[in-house]
Amino acid sequence: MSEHVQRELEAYYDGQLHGTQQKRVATHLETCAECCAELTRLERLSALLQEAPVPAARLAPERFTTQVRLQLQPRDVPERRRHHWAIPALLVGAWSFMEAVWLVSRGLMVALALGLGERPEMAWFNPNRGTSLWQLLQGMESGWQGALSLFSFLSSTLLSTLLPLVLLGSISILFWGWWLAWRPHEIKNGNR
Amino acid sequence: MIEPSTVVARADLELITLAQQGDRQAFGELVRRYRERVIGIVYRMCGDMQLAEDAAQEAFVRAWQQLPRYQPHAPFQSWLYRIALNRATDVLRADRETANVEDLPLVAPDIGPEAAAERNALHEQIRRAVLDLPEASRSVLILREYEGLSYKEIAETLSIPLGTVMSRLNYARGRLREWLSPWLEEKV
Repeated sequence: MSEHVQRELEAYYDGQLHGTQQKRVATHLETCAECCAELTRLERLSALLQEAPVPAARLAPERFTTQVRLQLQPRDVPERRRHHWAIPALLVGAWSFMEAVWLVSRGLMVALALGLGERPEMAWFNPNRGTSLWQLLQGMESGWQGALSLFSFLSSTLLSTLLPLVLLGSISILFWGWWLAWRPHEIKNGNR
Repeated sequence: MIEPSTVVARADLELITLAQQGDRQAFGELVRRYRERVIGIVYRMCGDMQLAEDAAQEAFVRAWQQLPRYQPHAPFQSWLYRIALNRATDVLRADRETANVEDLPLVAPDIGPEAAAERNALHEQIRRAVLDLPEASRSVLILREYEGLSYKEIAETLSIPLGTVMSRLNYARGRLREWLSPWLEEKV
C-alpha cells in the first residue's frame, strides 16, 4: 500500500488535511478503489459508534446544576484584596499627622504672638529670634549677603505655608482615587 | 448579581471572567451549558451513568477551584474536558468493579431475533468495545468521534503531541474495527 494514501486517510477523513495534502489525497481517491474502500470503512465505523447513545441522565439539568453549586466553596480572597483597608488607613493616618503638625505649629505661632516667646525660658521656639522682614530689607543695602538672607526668609515662609497644603491635597486626591477605584469592587463582592 | 434572563445571553468568556471573580451564578450557567457534554465524555470513559454523573459533578467542582488559574487564550471547552477526563480516570482507578468490562462477551452476534433486543445488544457491544480500549486511546477516540474535536484541540486537551493523537486514534480505530467487524460487515 506504499503508493496509497492510507497514512493520510484518517486525517483526510477527519478533515484535518489542508491545501496540497488534502488535494493529493482527494485526487488519489478518485482513481484508487482500495483507498476508497478504506475510507468507507472509516465512515462505517464512525456511523456505528454514533449508534450507541449516552443513556438519559438520572438528574434533571437544574438539579445537577444545583448540586454542583452547593458544593462550590467560596474562594480565598486574593492577598491584595485582603489588605485593601491598608491604603486608606495609611492615607487617613498621614492626613491626621499633617493636621496635628499644623495645629501644633499654629498653636506655637499664637503663643508667640501672645508674647510667650519673649520670656527667656521660651525663647527656644521663636524661629526668627529678632529677625523681621523690615530688618532683612534694610540688610539688602549691605550687599549680596543681605539679599541672600531675604531670599532665604521668603522661601522658608513660602514653603512652610504651601508644603502642608500640597501634602494635604495629595493625600485627599489619593484617598478619593482609592475610593472611586475600590468601592465598586468591594460593593460587588459584598453582594455576592 | 446577574439576572437569570441576561445570563443566558452572555458569552462564555464573560461568564468565565465573572466566575473567576467568584460569581457562583455565572459558574452555574457554565455548568448548565457544558453539563451534557461533560457527562457524555465521562460516561464514555467509565461506562456507568451514575458514576459518570457523580464524576461530572466533581469535575465541575474541580473546575471551579482551578478556574482562577485558567488562561482564556486556551479554549475553555478543552480545559474543562481535560478536568473531566482526569476525573473519569480517577473514577476508573478507584472503582474498577463498577466499570468492569470483563463480565460480558465482547462480540455476541447470535443475539435473539427481536429488533429491539438486537439494537440493545449492538449498543452494549459498542459500549464494551470502547471501554475495552486502553484509557489513553479511548480518551482520544471519544474526543474525536463523539465530541468532534480537531487533532490540535485533542492535543491541547490531553497535553500530548499531535503525532501521538494520530497514532492513538489510529490504534483505537483499528481495534474497534477488529472487535466490531460482525456489525461493520453487516452494514456493507
